[in-house]
Amino acid sequence: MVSIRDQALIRLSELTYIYNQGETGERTGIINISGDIYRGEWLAMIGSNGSGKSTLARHLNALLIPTSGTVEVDGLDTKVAENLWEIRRLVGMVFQNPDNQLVAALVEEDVAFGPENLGLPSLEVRLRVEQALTLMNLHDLRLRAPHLLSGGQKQRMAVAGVLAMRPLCMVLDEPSAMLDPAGRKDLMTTIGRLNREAGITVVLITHFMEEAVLANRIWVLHEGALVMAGTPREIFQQGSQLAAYNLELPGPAELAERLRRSGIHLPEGILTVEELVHSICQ
Amino acid sequence: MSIIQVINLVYVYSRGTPFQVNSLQNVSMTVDEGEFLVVAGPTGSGKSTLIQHLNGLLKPTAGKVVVLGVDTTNKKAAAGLWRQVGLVFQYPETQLFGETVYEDIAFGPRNTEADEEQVDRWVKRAMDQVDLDYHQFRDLSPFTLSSGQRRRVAMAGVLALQPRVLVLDEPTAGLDPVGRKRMLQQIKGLQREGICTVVLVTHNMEDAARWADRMLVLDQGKVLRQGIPRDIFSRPEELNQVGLEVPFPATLTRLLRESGYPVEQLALTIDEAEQTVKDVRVVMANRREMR
Amino acid sequence: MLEGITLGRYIPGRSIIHTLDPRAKIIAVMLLIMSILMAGEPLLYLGLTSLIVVVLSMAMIPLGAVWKSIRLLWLILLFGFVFQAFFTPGQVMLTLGPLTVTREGLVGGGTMLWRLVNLITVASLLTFTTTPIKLTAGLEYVLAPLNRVRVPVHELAMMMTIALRFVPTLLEEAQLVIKAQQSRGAAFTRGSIWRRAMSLVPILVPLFAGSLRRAEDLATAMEARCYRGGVNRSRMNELAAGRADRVAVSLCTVIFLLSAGLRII
Repeated sequence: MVSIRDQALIRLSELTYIYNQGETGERTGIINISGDIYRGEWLAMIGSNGSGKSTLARHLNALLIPTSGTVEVDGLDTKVAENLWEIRRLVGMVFQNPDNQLVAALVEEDVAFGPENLGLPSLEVRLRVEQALTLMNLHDLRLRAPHLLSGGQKQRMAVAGVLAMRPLCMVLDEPSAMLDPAGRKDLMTTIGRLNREAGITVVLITHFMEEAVLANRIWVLHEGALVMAGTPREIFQQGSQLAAYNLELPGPAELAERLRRSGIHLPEGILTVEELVHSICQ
Repeated sequence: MSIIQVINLVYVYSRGTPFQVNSLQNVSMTVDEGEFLVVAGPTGSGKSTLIQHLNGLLKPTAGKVVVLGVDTTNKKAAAGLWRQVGLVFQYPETQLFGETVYEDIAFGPRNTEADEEQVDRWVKRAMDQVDLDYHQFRDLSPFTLSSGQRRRVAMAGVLALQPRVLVLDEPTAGLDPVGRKRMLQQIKGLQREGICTVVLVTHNMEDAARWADRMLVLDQGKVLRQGIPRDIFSRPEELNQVGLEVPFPATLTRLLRESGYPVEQLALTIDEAEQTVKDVRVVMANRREMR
Repeated sequence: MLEGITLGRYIPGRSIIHTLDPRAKIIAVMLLIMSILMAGEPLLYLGLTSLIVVVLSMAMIPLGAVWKSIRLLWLILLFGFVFQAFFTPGQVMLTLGPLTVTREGLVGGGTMLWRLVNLITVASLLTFTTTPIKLTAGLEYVLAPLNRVRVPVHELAMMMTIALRFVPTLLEEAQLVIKAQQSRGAAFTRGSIWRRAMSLVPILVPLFAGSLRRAEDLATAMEARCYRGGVNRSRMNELAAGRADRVAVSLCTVIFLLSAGLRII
């Protein structure tokens, strides 16, 4: 029988990270985090500013190396220098600022940047670029200059650029923070599609609870530690605990909680408006 | 009393070139003294272009913009508008350049005829308004601060001019929920205390519902709708079509109403929604009793 | 104004000129530039300009775009012409107060004008028909011999790619910063030279600081996409010289030899 442990794509073991170790301004970024990220899942990481979520994200593709403890990606230890480029191929990353991750002056040339770095033959690069562009609905825009694209389109470009490297996992660090609601919705739909249909493991760092709700599991970080882990329903039933970590509940969950407190009987685990209306109407 | 009148405003970028963009088409609106007006719309709807007309940065291609009695096409008179109408751009922390926080905030005041003593008073007051401790921050370099603090420095730089109208373009962009709430509370505070009229551009409808006295919704350079938030949010399909979301309290109460429950008016905030649900249940219970 | 810059922008197309190997184009353009600078016979002027016009039409570049590029540098063109016309000694044709226009001056000015216009057109031809990445790939190849003298050719080419990508973005940002400072009462056109120079600080410092931040973000993003310099890096559009390229370079070499030769004789 294949145990769940074997399906872990990324394993964190007592990961600790200290900034500026030994110098002035030394501070702890991550404290002793252990946990697994499973193949094919969508994990959301939430936490207030300074909780360490971005720092943790950068350990997943070896942009940062642990001060102590280990991070293993598909069995590869991030501390081992020879593993670096394979790890970064397996775990792609999309950043918050749409502009500051685009390198080339044409859409298709930027999407090709990753595969070119891998030294793949031209035809293979061309093939992957076409596939990624089509998957992200950018084929018509492929000869456009990036600065003419909207924020949402630029983020799709960034995702395409990562997809072209055929990663197993995609880490997105607050990818929709600089987008408008339509762009955010579009991006989340796309991520959901990639996760479900293409089986890509997704790690989403976000401060939008409406996005965290879409994930399979949520990790809550606070001041560098992993303080809560569970499904969205489990996590968002603990409103007072989240408040202690400076986090809010998604609107409908918050309202449900308030109503419960004033004596109205509602089932646990309400996350969306529809669920709330349904429960009230019972 | 309206202090800003926009009449049939048309604005075209790069007129006559192949890059021409009809940014604003026949926009008419007013801003009343002391109110909190929210200008909402999806990206590309022309909101940023509109607000740049309010301090005379842009001049109408056609139509008229009158701010505090000054027609903005009157170059001489409009040249001083920046003192009365303070404009805070998106991500204002990217515009900081002063050697110290004090120097940066003092930039605006120093461009007026105020003497150093007055400048000092204005800077102190502005820092107080954005919750930056004067003594702690005044000599720090802005580049050593966190992005949240830098944003407050940038806002203080505009507040230091003590403008009658404060126009902000998405001031909460990129902030987490806690930071967003705090900033909007501060801005609302300024309006409530009568310090300035506020025009806030945003695409966050939860914020609009919570804080606005009135709203103006733009779409593709045209005015879609103007009015109080409750009216605007009673037409969700319209907003959705344009790419805007309806805040969940309004959706909740609308869905309840559609399910046959006696909902008097749509809720705009979570507090109102809570009250509405409780009221509705009382009414339903009474009805059941009476049968 | 800032939105309308066509100098150096890529205009998509599928003409023969577009598909020529960028290396061939770069070498051809260099040869043509030298030919233009060296040409001394009116027949050569005619020949060169005709060739350029033919290539332009082969590339299907709208004349409007070329005109825009030329127009952008009108000040330099005018200055060059006027300088030559008024200050070359010789047979006087026209007198305007203390200044005289000579026949030699007119000829000299006219020649300079011709040279400049053709130079601009040829350079524009290159950037109109070659995508930025192909351009830098071509340059990287052509400059490769410099690797032996420790010149970091790949890194320079990458810098050029990134610069080309960010120029429009930085221009937009500059506009925004200018507007923001104007909204605080900044004026850039008043006062002494010193005052005007200092008034640029509120624009340059934020742009600089912003660029540094961008650079750091971009470097991180590039590393996340496995960038490690030019080692073992491939190209989506592999450069492959064909017959058309050889023809182009040969033709330009002949023209150059003709130009240089006639000059020496």
